[in-house]
Parts: sequence; C-alpha cells; structure tokens
Amino acid sequence: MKKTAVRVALIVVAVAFIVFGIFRNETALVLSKGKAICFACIGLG
Amino acid sequence: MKKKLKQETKRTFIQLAAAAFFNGYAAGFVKGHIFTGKTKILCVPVLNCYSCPGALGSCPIGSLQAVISSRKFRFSFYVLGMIMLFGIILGRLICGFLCPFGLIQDLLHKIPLPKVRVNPKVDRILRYLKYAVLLVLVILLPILIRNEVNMGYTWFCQYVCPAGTLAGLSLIASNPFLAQMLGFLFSWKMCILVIVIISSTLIHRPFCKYLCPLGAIYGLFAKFSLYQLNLDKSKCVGCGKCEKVCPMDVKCTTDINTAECIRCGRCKAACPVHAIGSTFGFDRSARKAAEASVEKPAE
Repeated sequence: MKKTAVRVALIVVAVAFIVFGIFRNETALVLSKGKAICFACIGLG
Repeated sequence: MKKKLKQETKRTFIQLAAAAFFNGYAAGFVKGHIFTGKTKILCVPVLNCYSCPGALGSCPIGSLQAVISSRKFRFSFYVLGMIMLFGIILGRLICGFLCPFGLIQDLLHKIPLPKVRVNPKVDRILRYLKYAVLLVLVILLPILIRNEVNMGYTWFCQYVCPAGTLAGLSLIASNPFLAQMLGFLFSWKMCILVIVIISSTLIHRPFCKYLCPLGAIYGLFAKFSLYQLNLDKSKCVGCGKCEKVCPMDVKCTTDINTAECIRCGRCKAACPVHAIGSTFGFDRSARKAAEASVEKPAE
C-alpha cells in the first residue's frame, strides 16, 4: 500500500514537472538543441 | 539452455527494433545530416545522441544539460519529469531491452574473447562512479561553470559520452565538411569510445555498470518502478544459477530489484524451479500476476 502511494506520488510529480516545464517553455530549448548538430556531443568542439 | 537462448534472442530482437525505432530517419545516414522534425521536442528514454543522423527524438541526458546550462534556466522540470516518468514506469528495463548503446555492448560481449571478472571490491567502488558522473558532469558543472555570456557547457556530452562519438562517426563518414573539423576533442572522445568497446568485449556492459548517468537515475527508481522482478523464496532451491548468468552480477537471491539490475530476464530463464517471475503494474495487479506466474510457470 505504501509502495503504491509512492508510485502514484512519483507519477503525479513527474507529470506535474512535465506540464510546468512546457509552461516555462523549456521545450523550445530542447527542440532547438535537438534540431542542430551538437558539435560538443560528436567531439568537434 | 534452449529457453535461455530463446529469451536472449527475443531480447536482442526487441533491442534491435528499439534501436531502429529511435533512429528511424534512415536518410540522415546517407546524406550526412540530422533529423530536424518536431518529434525532437520529446526525449527518448535511452542514451541516444540527438546528433545521431537517424535520431528522431532528443537524448534525455543531453537535453538536461542543455537546459540547465542555458542562460534562462538552472533546473529542467520538463526533462527531469520525462526521465522520472520513464523511470517509474519501466525503470532499468529500458537499459536491458531498449537502449541502443546497451545493445552495442551486449553484441560486443558476444565476441569470443577471454572474459574478465572485475575484483568484487574494485567493482563495488566503480559502481558508484556513475552517480559521481551524474552529479558532477551532468548536473553541477553545467550549472556552475559559465562563460562570459553566462552559458554553461554540456560536460558529459563533450568529454565522455561514447554514444555521441558514435553518432559523430556516422555523421563525419557521410559529411566531408565535418571531417575537416576533427581535432583534439575528437581524439579524446575516440579514446574513450575505444576503451568502452574493448572493455565491452571483456566485461559485460562496462559503460552501464560504471559510467552511464541515465542508468544511475533509472536505478534510483528500481524499488518503485511498475516493472518488478519477484523471487518466490519458498520455491528457490538456492542453486545459484540465476546469479551465475546475471550479466550485472546482481545477488538475485538476496536483492533481486537492486539498482544494478537491468531486468534482462536471464535469471528468470535460468531458474530451474521457476522461482523468479516478473510483474508490471500497481501493487494489487502486480501481486495477482506474481501469484499466477508462480502457479503457472512459463514454458
């Protein structure tokens, strides 16, 4: 029962985080980063 | 043995399908550019560089660093929320069944070379390294170290991530413009990639065990993820076959849902008395499924 409560709480927090992140427009940053070649990631600088 | 092979083959097929799914933009590999569609707004649940030519989604570790190292934010609710959701639903089952870099290490380990068993004491210490990587390279340094325009750096991606180097290799191979930019950083990252590749042939999943920050986060959800393994102690005969086949050296009989377990299911397949089962769901449904799986062992 306690484990179920923790699981539900974690899911609620995760969804709330996602919604709040969208509200803060973090998604624009994620998208812009994902759409450009990341030179640091591939080892070019 | 037959069952083990069948289970392992099934898992390899799922891993291949997942790798193809997360890297479904085949044209990128031919033309030497990356996918720029809107699906990159979503993070994939695995360590899959968004600069891989085929990547359809964003890497959660790369995205996390990108957001927290930006001028605007010091915390990423969006990316952490996604990682938490993946972690609570599937946990490290993602490592065992979905991660393309896990698949690469699994395939490398199949190369018939002598295998090395890391000294248990050294192994125990090295396992904490991934948490240090997560804390220092993924979280603290991108937040704390800033340049003159108040931008941080993606330290893990830049100096460690071998998945990014692999992505770079496939991009550079088909893009001569990028090939002209090779320098010290690329050589450094190639060294890390080569070390990971060589050690993967000798040790099972060294990157997952010792370095992966995403695996470290998912490990934190091991006890609470909806997917769990269950050991029926009344059936266990203590033969130790589960522990012998475990690629992550988990003590299955004492702590089967440890943070180190990647839920590959080898222990389940190896158990001669079907004492190990798996469940997915919240407590009630999980308990019922566990009882059913113990009553009706898999073929």
